Amino acid sequence: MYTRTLSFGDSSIEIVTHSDETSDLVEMLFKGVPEEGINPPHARLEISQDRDQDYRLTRDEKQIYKGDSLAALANSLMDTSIYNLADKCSSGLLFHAACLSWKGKGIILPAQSGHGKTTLSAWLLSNGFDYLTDELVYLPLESRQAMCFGRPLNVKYGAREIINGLLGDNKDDESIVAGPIAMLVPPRLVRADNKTVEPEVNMVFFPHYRADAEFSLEKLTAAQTGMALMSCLVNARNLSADGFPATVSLARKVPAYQLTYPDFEGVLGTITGLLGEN
Amino acid sequence: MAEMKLDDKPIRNESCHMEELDDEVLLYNPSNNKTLYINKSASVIWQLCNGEQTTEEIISMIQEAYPGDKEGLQRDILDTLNSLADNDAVSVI
Repeated sequence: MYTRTLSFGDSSIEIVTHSDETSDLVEMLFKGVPEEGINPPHARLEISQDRDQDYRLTRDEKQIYKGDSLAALANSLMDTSIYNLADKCSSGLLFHAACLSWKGKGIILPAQSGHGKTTLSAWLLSNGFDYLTDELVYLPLESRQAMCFGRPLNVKYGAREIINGLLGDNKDDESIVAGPIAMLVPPRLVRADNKTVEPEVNMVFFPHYRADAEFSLEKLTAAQTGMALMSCLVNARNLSADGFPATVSLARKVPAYQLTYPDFEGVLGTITGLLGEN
Repeated sequence: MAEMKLDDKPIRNESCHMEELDDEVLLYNPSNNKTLYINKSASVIWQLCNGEQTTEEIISMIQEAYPGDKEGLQRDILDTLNSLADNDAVSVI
């Protein structure tokens, strides 16, 4: 039996597996997630295999997934882990956002699914940014120090061609977990010297990929930033006054931009130029 | 939602949180997870909705403070109240 604790913010969960194959999967998926936490695990996820060799994922004995696909198990395990970690996180702001660092300066890219967070993150990673997460960023209250849920890049198949271009010779690497909807790509395959850091957030970019749009960058007011951040705050119900004052406080301190782009041309220079000035 | 009437007594949703940022105001409603981006005038109207004053009384108070185009002001206040009601930031007793 193999047990791995995942800790994020002030929330922890435990994952138990019973085979080398599934313990290797857990290690790969959660390599960047700390084990040591403030609080003991509040949920237990268990991966077992039936007599017919189907994988079975349970949360506190309630079945979450059953099937023969390791990739589908990986997706289900990732989603369940994130949900359960976010569910009890109450000591800081938890944003649905990507986070990267450039020369020690942190940027977050808050957005709902489908706005291009992962693809833009992978492209920035390939251009010298350190990739930290494409899903979840934790900021302790009154702090801008970002702690990130360090999972592999979760690439939807619509972006596969772009990602394969970035992966080059690594595109068939065996550590890529290809599922029915998406594939999980370790960031080291895009850039081998990617570093895991906890940067201070210097800037916020709300990304919006639109194939039919022209490139545009719009500086947001503090109110516009606060409004947009609130739509990406995932643990509001756990926080005092629903996290609204703390989110507005962040919006007052950090410059933010709406970034709309049809392709990556101009994006890198724009972001590094703004970070260089800041 | 039905249009606000002059004898309605609008009451603000006390679970909403308001924050002022320079000249702009945000109103967050946790019950529908919506954040409203409003101006300072709208935030004053929201604060006047205490469930005791009628819409007509709120309009009179604001018309006294800002004399001028009374009809235009009344229309603007009713529009604001209707918008706040549509977003569950105020309701009617």
